[in-house]
Amino acid sequence: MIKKSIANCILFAVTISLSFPVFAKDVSAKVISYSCNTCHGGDGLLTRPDRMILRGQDANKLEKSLLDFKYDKKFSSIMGRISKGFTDTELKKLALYFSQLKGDD
Amino acid sequence: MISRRSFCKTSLASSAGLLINACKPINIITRSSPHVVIIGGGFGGATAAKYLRKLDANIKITLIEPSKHYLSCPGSNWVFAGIQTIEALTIAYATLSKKYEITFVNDSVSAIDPVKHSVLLSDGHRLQYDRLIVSPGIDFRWETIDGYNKNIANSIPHAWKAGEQTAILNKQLHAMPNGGTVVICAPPNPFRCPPGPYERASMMAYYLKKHKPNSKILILDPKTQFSKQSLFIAGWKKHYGYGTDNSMIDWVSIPDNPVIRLDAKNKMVETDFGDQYKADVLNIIPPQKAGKIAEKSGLSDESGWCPVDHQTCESTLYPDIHVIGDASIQSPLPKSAFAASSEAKVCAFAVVSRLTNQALLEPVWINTCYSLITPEHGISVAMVYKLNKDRVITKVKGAGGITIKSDQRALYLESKYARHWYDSIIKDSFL
Repeated sequence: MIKKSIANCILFAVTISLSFPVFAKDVSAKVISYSCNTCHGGDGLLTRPDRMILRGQDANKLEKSLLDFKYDKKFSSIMGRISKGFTDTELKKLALYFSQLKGDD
Repeated sequence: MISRRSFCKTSLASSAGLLINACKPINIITRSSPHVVIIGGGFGGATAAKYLRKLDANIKITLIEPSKHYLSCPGSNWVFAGIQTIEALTIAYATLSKKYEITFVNDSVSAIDPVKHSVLLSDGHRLQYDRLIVSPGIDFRWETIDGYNKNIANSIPHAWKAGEQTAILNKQLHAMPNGGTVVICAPPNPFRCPPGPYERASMMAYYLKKHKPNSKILILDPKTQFSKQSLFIAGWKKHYGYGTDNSMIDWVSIPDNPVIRLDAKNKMVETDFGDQYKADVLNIIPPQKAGKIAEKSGLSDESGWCPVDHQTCESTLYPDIHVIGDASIQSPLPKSAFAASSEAKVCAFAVVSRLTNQALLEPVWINTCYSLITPEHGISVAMVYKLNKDRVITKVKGAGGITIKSDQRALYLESKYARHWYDSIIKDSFL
């Protein structure tokens, strides 16, 4: 009985690992957003004109900003260096994620 | 052949709860809420506690930290330029504890029992954990410099853990006569805060240029290069005459000839080949290793640091224990506050995934680090890291890099961003 369950587990694990691509995967918006929080999180940053409040922003506007930073269409001190670390799809999903956040999430 | 340990991992990762009795201690299924114990309340431990709570309202979280307040190392070099105070670097744990329902235990840990899943406090109490996060920071390899030790550090400070040590060094700098020499002994890689020794020299030079302009700063370095080197050198040339006969800062690279001896009485250090350097103010930043409890519990390896699986920060030496921050091996991430915060978030996601039998999420890490050359001249370095196809933590190609523009306005803005960086990372980790 136990042996059979073990075999099933292994089969399940193998199936799962084969169903994902072996190359680096996209990172989920929530995971990325936690990194953004280090500079953009919390309250009080409204008083910092150089730092955009991300939560509740318009998704299209946010995505455009991120892509403009990434492709050097808009100069930034730091955001260009950061946004180049993400795929366009990741940035799109991230913008959507932040647009739907309310309060101090 | 599949080991019991890796089988447990596999079955948990694939949400097969059937065999959980065979793999886990019974308490995890009989107790209503799992208990995560965190050792160390620095940027790693505090951030982990806060983000665990954000991810899961149900977990019982205990943070064990011997100090009542945290003293931030980032920003502590600014004290030497007179633009930061020790008080401003001091953060109480009360907000973190109340706002995020974290049990704060003001004690130190004397032992970890990875088999019984328990932590022994120095007051004799024992805490049971389902998952343990160890974020102990660094300890010093005192033995590498003959004549240097913890007691002598009261008069010849390292100031590599902020607070009292910073105050001692600053007091000595203020007491030094005009024309005196400051010697900073930089540590070998890897160490906490790679740009730190060079920002320190910059901040001291700013003070000396104003108040004691005939003085010198000598950095004795066992490395052949250092973090943000081109930006530091450019800044030193601009403000402190670097490269001229009148340079206030001298960087002496002595890779095959490290400092190995201290004559504390004469404030003199000696290198392997017998070269002697005498100082009026001597700052020795010793070689480093993982914090004491990591070594004591067998979480560190022969390198002195703790090997971990990067996606989960789980120790590769003991199950159900995660190590984050400076103590863990996370290269190419540097040992910085921002990296510790990033690791803490990756760890929080992994801990919750493990406790709820969910699949692990794909992680990402960011590091952003500012240094000041003067209060109005800032520089920075940034990087984004992901797992590559071999599941190894790697710098994302094309991302990151150092300060882009070098005109005065851009560098001024970078100095402002440095201050804002400090405010926001403190807020994100502790408030």
